[in-house]
Amino acid sequence: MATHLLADDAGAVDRVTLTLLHRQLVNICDEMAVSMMRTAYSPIFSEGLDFSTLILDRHGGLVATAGLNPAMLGASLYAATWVIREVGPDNFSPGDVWIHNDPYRGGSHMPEHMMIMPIFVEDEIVAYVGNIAHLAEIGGMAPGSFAATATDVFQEGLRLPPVRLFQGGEPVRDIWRIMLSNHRTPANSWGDLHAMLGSLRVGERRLRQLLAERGVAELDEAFARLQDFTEACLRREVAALPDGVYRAEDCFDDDGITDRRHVVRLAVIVEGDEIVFDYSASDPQAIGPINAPYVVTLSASLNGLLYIIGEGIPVNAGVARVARVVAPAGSICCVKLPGACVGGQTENQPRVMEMVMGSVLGQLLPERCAAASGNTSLNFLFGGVDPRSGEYFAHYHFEANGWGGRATSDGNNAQIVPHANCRNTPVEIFETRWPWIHHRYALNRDSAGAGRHRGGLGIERVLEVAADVITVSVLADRAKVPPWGLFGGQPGSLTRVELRRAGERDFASFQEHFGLVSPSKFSNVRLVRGDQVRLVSPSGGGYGDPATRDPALVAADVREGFVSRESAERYYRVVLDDSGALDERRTRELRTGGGDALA
Amino acid sequence: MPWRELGKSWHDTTVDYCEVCGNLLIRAYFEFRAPDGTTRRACCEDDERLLALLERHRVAPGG
Repeated sequence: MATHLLADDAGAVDRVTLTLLHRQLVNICDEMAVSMMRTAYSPIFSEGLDFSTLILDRHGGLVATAGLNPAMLGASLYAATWVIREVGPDNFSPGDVWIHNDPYRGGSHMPEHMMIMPIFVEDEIVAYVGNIAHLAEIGGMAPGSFAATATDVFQEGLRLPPVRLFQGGEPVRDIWRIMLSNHRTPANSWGDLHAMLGSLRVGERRLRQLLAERGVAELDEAFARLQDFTEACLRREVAALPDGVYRAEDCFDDDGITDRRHVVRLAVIVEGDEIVFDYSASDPQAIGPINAPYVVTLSASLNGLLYIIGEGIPVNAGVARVARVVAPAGSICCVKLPGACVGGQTENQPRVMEMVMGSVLGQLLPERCAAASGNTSLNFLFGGVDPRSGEYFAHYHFEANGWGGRATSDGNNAQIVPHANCRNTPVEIFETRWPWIHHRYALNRDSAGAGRHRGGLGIERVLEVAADVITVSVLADRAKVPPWGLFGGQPGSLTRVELRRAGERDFASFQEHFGLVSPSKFSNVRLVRGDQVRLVSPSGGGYGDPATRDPALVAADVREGFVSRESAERYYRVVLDDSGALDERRTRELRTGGGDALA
Repeated sequence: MPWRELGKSWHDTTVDYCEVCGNLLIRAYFEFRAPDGTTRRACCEDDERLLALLERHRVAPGG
């Protein structure tokens, strides 16, 4: 970061000062994040870290953000600007906090709520602090507010256009009552919304300290120069790419409503120092909720770009000046009201982002790209009455999967999809908060795409219902089309969502049990005490020919239990003796075609 | 070509989209005449240039 800043002419605010101010602003965002994490009621905040914290200039342009959830980048760049433009800056007063979650006004999907608070100096707005966070329950047709079979946005929960949640520092009780009456777990919402508010107040306090030190004029100039700086850095990186049009496509298994693949088609146009992501040839919007609002496609495009060529560049409004996204309204990449879209953020965004990173920019910069991760958030939602407390509970859980192999290393094991940076919820938290018993939580051996650098392993989780009834829903993908490998790497493995009824011996898919359209998308299945759910998350694709993998690494994989001896021979052409040690002679024979691998 | 107000009433919660890039139109839009003679409503003035860039690459060999 500092390298970039110090290497450039920063104008009237000197370069060192600009670097320091940038770090101070990001630190404020980090402190806002810690506040939110430590005061929230829901594990999706405190464990999952599914939120972002923001500092915005007087027009709503992004100046700084904590490095938490890049999936919210599009909303961070545009939503506040649009809110301010829609309601008018004259309608903001000291102590006001505005909230909205409308995917048709810059939100990513409805569970994610944005709050913004103006920072006044005398009678003038000089900045805003903001945050975006995923509330675990906001009503709608399925507990956890992630209905995989929703066919319009009205089934996905309570939609708020920009409204004041606080006015002059006082709660707007009518809005609170509407929200809490429509959420299934209002006590959690109450706590989480106050965690968001507390985070804003931390940001306000710190930003006021900075304003007192530096003054409005200097900070104003620094905000603008930071955005200009980001624009200049990114233009320089884009200009280094060869001009041309680069194409790729990927698909979703189905949309939960129809058993039909939905295809995203991308053309990336590089021309000079400008880059355009054109999704115009993509399929029309789906009936089910896999559609992306515009800002989600924007996030996917920009994050894919930044991961490959944006290392060290400050993330702010300058990014959007260089890269343009074209996604016609009514397509799967820009859903039109009232299309369902809750899964766009968790399924569509990682699919598109990895397409940008791997299939498109991988053509140009193979040393920086990665094969596909499991590439689904494997959203598992549930709700019911906890027999331990007699209270209603609901939760939105996202599952870890394997990441793709990359040029320099294997894919990470058991990690949330790369677009969102979120963390997994520990088993101990799971069992403390909700009536489930874990029977198994393990890496899924032999599931990773083989490669010179193999994919990361997905997981297997087996849970038993420990309440009279729990209603579950799943919104996932990659149950039919596996994650792709790159440059000769093998594909990863598929998602599986299975059920064993109490008293039965074997697991079978939910699709087989209930005759569902989709193996990975369903809503509101009622399970009873003793039923067991098995979630098997996909593993990442491999990078490079597996027969070129260092045999010592294959032997280590076998020792660690990631790969079986049989797979070591079949895919990697590596032979181990009975003690697990590398048999160098037989391996050499096998790799040079002189020996036989296992069938 | 000018910027024009969308002119929505406060109780109108419908959404309008940029006819070049798909982005939202908030309160106002930039109107311009496209090369095909149609009038487009855009989210920013730069979209006139963006449309030309898209057309150039879509009709180019391999575009």
